[in-house]
Amino acid sequence: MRDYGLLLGLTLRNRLAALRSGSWRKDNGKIDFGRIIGSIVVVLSIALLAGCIIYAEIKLFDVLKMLRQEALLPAVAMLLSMLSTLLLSFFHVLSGLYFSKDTVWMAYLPVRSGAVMAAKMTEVWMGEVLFALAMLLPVNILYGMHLNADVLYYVRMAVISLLAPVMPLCIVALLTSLLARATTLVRNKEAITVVLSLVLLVGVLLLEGILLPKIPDDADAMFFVRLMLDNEGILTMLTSAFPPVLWAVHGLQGNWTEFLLFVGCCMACVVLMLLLLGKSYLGVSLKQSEQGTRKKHVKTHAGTWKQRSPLMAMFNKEWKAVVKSPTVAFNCLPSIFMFPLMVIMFIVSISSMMDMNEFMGEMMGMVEQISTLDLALILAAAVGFASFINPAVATAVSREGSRLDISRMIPVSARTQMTAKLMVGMLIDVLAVGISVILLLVLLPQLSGAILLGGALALMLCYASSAMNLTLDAVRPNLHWTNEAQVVKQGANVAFGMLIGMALFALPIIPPILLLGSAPWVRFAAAGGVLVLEVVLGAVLLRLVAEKRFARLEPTA
Amino acid sequence: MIVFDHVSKQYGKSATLAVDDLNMTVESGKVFGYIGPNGAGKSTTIRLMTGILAPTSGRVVIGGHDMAKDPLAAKRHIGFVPDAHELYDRLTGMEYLNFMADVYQVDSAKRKVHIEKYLNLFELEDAAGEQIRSYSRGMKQKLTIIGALIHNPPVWVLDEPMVGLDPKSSHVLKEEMRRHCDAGNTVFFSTHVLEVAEKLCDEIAIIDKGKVLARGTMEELRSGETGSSLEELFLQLTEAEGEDA
Repeated sequence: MRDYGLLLGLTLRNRLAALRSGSWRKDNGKIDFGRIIGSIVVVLSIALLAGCIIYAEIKLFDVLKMLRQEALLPAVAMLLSMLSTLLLSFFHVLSGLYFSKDTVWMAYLPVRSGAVMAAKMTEVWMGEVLFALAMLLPVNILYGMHLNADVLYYVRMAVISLLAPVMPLCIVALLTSLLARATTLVRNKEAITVVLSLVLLVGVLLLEGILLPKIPDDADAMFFVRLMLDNEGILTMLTSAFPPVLWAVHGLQGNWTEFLLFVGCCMACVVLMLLLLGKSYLGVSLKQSEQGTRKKHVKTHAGTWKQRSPLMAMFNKEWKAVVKSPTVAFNCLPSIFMFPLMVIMFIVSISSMMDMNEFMGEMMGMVEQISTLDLALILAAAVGFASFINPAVATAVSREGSRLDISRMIPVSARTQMTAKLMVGMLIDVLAVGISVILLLVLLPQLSGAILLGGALALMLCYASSAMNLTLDAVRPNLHWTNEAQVVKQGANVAFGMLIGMALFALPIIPPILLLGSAPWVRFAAAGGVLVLEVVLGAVLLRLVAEKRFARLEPTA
Repeated sequence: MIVFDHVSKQYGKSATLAVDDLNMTVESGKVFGYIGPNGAGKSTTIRLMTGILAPTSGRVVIGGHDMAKDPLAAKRHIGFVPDAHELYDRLTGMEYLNFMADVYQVDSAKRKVHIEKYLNLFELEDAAGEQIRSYSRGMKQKLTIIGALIHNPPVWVLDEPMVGLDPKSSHVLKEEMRRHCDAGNTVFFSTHVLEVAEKLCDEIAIIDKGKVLARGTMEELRSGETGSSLEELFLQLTEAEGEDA
């Protein structure tokens, strides 16, 4: 316990160092107003987003109240929170436990392996619990106000909300441990980690799909009537495969037995995880840093010695840094497959309900009512929305970390280096938009004009978003990290970059909505005009701000 | 040639200067040793010289190019071997060397000759196809040395270059430093190994608390002090400085 406390204290001090007063000052001792304003904007943006979510939740709660299914709101929030932790924490746990720079250092300290694992898992929990609190607290407070709950309700609420990510994290720790053990047997650990991670994630998704409640095939009208009349009907059905969610909801409502059952279950998971994995953790983790060698004379060919321009050399280096690291690759590359995956899932679900040809016929009938230009805008919004989130570019400067020395020492201008970083981000965007466009062209060849136009508009959005994200990372980079997940998953610049992207996405949508009565070309011109302005603004910020800030970046002593 | 023109560096609000009014010229064709106790300002001087840090005042001129005004031209004159090995771990050794050759714009024929020569010299041919993360400290050191020499730089800067090298590689490196210097280039290196500095250097500077305390050839340094070895001179100068402070 003492070891755990010491390691956790160290981690916390390291994490909270950014909040010390000195962090708000420049090297010359003057207050860094840019940093302070940036932080205020981040907080306000998050508050705005939270406000929108709370508003939507209030509206949803009103509907549920009419249906007398109020308890569904905390249950759905709890279920979503736990399922999303299960899926989204995978690479956080993997990189925190097995690809962290400080593991070797911790290994030679006189501390127990289990204590190191517990400290690292607590650090991961601290990252994940914020997301869980954001999802659960507004909902549970709303529910408490509806129940006119006493103080004890809010105590139970706080405990349940804090414990919500515990069980999924324990499951993920077990899965990643199996993965880490499997990869110690092979030489090319990282490639195998990437492939097996994908297999495990698909497995978890399939399992979730199987466990999630389904309406029985033989359900008749009475089934639905019974479900609606029974206060607990939908709740019980929804949580049938996840009893802890039901315990948590009943615990919230005042059932102390189920509350304690939930808390005990969380604690039992932690104890079980530490008993199963704690003792061997450090050994397995250290094996990840071992790299077997072939000791074969390197084979060269004419291409080995091919001279590239400094720009292409920087681009090549950046691209390899993205695709060769499992943590970076899995946080930065999913946008490439996001839209095609959504389309495929949509087709699969539609084909299970109705004849595909019939559906396509009905859809084309609807589409024919829409002008090509409006259709291009709709497609641009759909493809652009799935593509503009790009952590590769939002963390391109931060990921340099302590290697910033090399960037500063080589005879390559800040402009070239930043252009290479932008090119990597844009390559991901071009792949994402390109694959989406090809898929749409295959499915809907009749709409090729609108699809190509929509793809071009989506790329404009991606460029503007990438340029502004890169500018943000050059202005406030985080060069001090111990594992890449702290930058590409938990980095404030990723969250803020997403907000910037959302704003850039929303702005061109507003004029066409305001101009609904006008001719299609007017709406198209208005949206296109806003997009052009965004692109110009992105390019200007990149040239005037990002490059200058990057050129002035100085590693600390 | 390297010119430090009244160069000072202050980190943040620090009351002391890491480098304090450094004013010296290092001529071409010399091996220049830069020695001093821990925290004396050696690495800061080197980071200022290589463009990693910007001076608080003064200027650094490399091969006639001001590092602040024309950094790219100045950096092209330098090959740098840092003391830390924060390399791009997931690149292979060969990919790293080709990356360095590309950024220093070395053509295909020259890079082939250089890379093959130095991989062979430092016995790294068998590891060049492996990812850098699999390398030992010494192997990373050798790789950075090869990367720094890839464009045959007029100014070769090394920060604690002997650390981590086995005796044979250390010997090869010293020979290479001498050969590079004899070809008319400048070699500037920092070290704690005073025997190496004594035997290898044409000129030595002793720095402490950011100031150069003494500078010259071994004979010139000996003439002004009572000590006969570099170690004795070093201890006399740095202890005297400590007492003055």
